[in-house]
Amino acid sequence: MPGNKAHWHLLPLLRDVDHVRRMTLADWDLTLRLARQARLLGTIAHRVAANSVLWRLVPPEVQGHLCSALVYADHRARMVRLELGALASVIPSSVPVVLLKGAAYVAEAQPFAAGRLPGDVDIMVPRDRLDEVERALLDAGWKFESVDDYDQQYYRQWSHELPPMRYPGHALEVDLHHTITPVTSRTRADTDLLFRDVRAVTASRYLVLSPADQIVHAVIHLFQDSELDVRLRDLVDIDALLRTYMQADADWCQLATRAQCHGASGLLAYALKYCGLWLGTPVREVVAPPMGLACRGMDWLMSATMLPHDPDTVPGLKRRMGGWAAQVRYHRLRMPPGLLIRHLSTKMGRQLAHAVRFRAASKVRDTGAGERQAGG
Amino acid sequence: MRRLGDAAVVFDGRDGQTHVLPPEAVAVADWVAEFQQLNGRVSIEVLNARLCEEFGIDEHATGYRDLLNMLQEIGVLRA
Amino acid sequence: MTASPLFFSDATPDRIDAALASDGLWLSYGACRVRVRAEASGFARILQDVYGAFPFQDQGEFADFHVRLERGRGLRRLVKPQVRFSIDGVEPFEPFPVSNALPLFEWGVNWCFGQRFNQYVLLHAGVLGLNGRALVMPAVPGSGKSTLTAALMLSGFRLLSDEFGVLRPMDGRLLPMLKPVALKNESIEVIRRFAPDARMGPVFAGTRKGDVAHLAPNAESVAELDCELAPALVLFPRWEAGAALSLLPQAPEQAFARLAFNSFNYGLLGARSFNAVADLVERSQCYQLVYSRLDEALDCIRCLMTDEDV
Repeated sequence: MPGNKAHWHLLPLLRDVDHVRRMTLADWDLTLRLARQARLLGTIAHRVAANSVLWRLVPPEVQGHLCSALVYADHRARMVRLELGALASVIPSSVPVVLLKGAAYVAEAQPFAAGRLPGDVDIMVPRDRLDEVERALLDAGWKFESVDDYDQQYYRQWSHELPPMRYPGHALEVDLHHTITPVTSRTRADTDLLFRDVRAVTASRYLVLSPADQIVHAVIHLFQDSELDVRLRDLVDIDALLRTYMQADADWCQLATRAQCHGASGLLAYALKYCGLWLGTPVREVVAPPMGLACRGMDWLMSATMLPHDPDTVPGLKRRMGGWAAQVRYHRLRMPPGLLIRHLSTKMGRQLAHAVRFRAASKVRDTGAGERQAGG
Repeated sequence: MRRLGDAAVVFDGRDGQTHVLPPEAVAVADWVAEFQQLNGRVSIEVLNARLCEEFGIDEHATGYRDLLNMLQEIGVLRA
Repeated sequence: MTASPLFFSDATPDRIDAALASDGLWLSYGACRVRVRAEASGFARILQDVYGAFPFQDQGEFADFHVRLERGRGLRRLVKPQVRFSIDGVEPFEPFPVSNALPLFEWGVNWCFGQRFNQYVLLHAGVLGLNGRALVMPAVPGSGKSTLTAALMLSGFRLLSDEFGVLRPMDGRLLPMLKPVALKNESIEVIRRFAPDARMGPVFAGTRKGDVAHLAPNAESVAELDCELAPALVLFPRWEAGAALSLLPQAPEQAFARLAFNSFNYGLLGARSFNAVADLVERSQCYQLVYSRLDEALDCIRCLMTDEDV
């Protein structure tokens, strides 16, 4: 049996919810913890709850956690809809606004979005309308979460999105994108192509990417936009998109073509490999399977960092190394080498400054400042 | 909408907000419902005029118009 | 193999320490079970003080939360020892001085429960039982809720919870979330005078909530950890120096608003909590009570709870 405990029940459960039949209370004990860590508890809850026979096989204490995860995911999805409603009335109506990832799944009421825990709201507008939209949001009261000059400069110069914005009091951040890959990245999405094939969301002003582009974006996001730590959830999204949209051979061919247009064939190959391996996704070999040294490195990195770790043990050397390697890799994919050094070193300098401020702040707190709810 | 004694609470599923209606507001909502059952849907202006006439209130007092608008906003009243 | 002692009060501190340092202890609060592992000297003895009547379990198949109390790392360990609370690698709070392990543990469990038990409406309220029916006392600042809760337990009521009123939307019943009652500042002395024999943990001076001491739940309350109750009475108490006892009906829509406003997760549950709180108000008598003397308040509450009309 493979080393990571996610292989015991979490991955089998994600492959086939019928696995519930083989789980004891003690199995659930570990699986709830792993699923929560991977932000997949709501997804699993929805799949189990959708089958009343299986639901009855779940011990009552576990049902409680699953119900709670569904309630929370519902709440977050409601927050997404409210945020989209608020944004819709503020962004000039002539601007085409494309919803990305979670926001798109919620707006289209995708069956696989049920129970999924949406993160922040990602929207994309054409680059030449970006300033106009930013202005409109700021005028309407949204504010940048960080006013740190370095952050602002970094995002504006090198990123594919503006720094996160939030309307005071709103639950979710808005990430305003103008494309789906950083401008400095080796993987260069063809933005014109993305906008050319968007589809309208029924009864709304919003647009979503074409199915193939949604998959390619999810793949790019899986490897590039994140620090590769417990990204299993992103892989589950890709699995769901593939199962939803890839019906005929032609769909798979189109996906391969699309990935090539966006320079993401290699990434797609890895994603398909792990979808098949871990989640049992029915995949076709439409892109050359990854091979060689780079592939072995990636295999190591994937299993070291993508799966949730055993909550009862201190993160092992493999994971810590993996985490570090993934971070370096993440910046390499995004930035030319000179920039890599600049970003990492500045970031470290900032971390030091943070640590100092943090210690000062915690001293103040020790002497008894307030904190939020659930105290004693 | 759930009635609690003479008062009521209303959950608006569109924005997840809860509204508390004191007994006076519930009385107005009930009167409107009855009025509309007999006369069909009419505008807030007409409702306000009839309400003020019925209860002998100065028609230019804004309180009831505001209340009617609020009831409409939270989906209790359709005008 | 020797049989496990049944209760915390029967286990030796060494045995508690050994369990905390290895597989952990499984604490059952009614609505949830917590597995705790700890490396904090003196913690075992304090646990024994405030959880004395609870079943002692050093093995378990399932816990809702797996938490740890660990000593701080590095030099701090020697210079100014600290203790950290974590659940599956998440640390919701800054470390505390090691002597304050119990308040940190109690707040930590509250945090886990408040964040992760959204299958229930979590009211901020004390809940007590008498004759198989529940009294709900929402915590409003200045209500003296914890003092009243403690005094009611010490005069024959069954304690279900002091911090969380755990309301199950499905059937409107209240579940126990039975934890030591955190008494603050003057309340500590008030309860000591009220019941000199009551089991209480040490006073932790100067926490962010002032001085705190924990009153141990009694055996009668612990014995009914599995038992939920239907609500009968919602009471909004207010302590006012020198005031004569006064009991007034609380308009139901106001009771609704105050309950909802004082809930940890009302907004999060949407229509479910709306209906659950409306059900609670519909099924209960709602009053506001102003009092200055504890004994008068207790008599009044006992009358309300035994009155057949209620």
